[in-house]
Amino acid sequence: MLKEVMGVIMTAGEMLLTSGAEVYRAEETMERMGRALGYTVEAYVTPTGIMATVAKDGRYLTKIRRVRMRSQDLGKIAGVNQISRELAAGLLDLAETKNRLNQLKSPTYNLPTQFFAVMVASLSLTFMLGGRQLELVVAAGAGFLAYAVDYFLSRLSASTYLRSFAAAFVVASAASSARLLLPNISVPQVIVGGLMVLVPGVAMASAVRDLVQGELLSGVVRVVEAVAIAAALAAGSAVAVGFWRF
Amino acid sequence: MVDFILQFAAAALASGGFAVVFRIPPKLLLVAALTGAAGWLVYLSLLPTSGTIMATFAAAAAVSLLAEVFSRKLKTPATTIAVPGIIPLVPGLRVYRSMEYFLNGDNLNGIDEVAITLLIAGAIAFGLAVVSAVFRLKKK
Repeated sequence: MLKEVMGVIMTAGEMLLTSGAEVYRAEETMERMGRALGYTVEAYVTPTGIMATVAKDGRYLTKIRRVRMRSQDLGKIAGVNQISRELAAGLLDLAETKNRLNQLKSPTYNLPTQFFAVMVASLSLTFMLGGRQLELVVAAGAGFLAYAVDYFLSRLSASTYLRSFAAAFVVASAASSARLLLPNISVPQVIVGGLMVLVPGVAMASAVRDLVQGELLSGVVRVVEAVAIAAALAAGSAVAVGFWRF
Repeated sequence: MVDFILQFAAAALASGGFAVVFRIPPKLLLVAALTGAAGWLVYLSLLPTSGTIMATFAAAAAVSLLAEVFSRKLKTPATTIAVPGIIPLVPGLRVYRSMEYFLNGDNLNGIDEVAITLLIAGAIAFGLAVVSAVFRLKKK
């Protein structure tokens, strides 16, 4: 039984962490789920790994799980939260909890919807930055391109920095080329609108909330990650814009 | 006035689009979009009198407040609503401008833009942090 409880809370913690949830949320959820099942759980979570001990009646089990993948999936965070609430309310038992967690693995939106959303978001952001008319159309294309490069490279399991750099390079090159055909468009607004989709918003927000909770380690690590991604985006567009001046 | 409505709609679409990219549960989509739009309106209304940094702080605080209130009603983590909500406030254009300044060898203006970018990022962080800290207080 110790092993099964450990399996369930580890799965829950790992899902939260890989989806970009705050570290304190992962720890609290694991401890709350353990308590609901009648076990004492001590969890220590960092952005790159989980350590947990499950104990009952003087017997205990400790496990370490290394977590390498990081994504941004608010749906999964909300889903695990819901399961943990239901478990704490006594609506689920151990087997049901395990099933529900395993079923949670599918993404909420299909790929065409995501690409459409990216294009709408890029267009809107460019509008908010002062872009008008044709700039909006080009921005939607830039957003599509950025997301496509990111998606393609993520399937080749490229690192986040390579993906950001490559996408920024492609988008900035494309926007600069578009200017040859449409001399009146303002390139910065288009590039920024297109690249915003790669901004690690979930990591930034989680970093702030972890810092507020006193989770200094996770907060600082994630701030550094967000800054590094922003630097990769800037470097990618800098190389492209620099080339274009020759 | 028309411009205000257009800005509101654009901010809602931007936040909503990002909510889809971040795979928010579909039932929260509308709330997240409206939260982002409300934050952007707070920013735009305060910008002429208070300046970029205070306006960003107030807007982030407003986003966080709405996220905390709605998340309690809808029984979901506040992050799910707050993250798409702050997207309109992220200073992407300033990062780009500072990159351009550095590329032109104009380091002074580049550093100036980086400093303002960091202040804005700090304002977003504090706006989120202050409100969520207050809500954590009430819970115990």
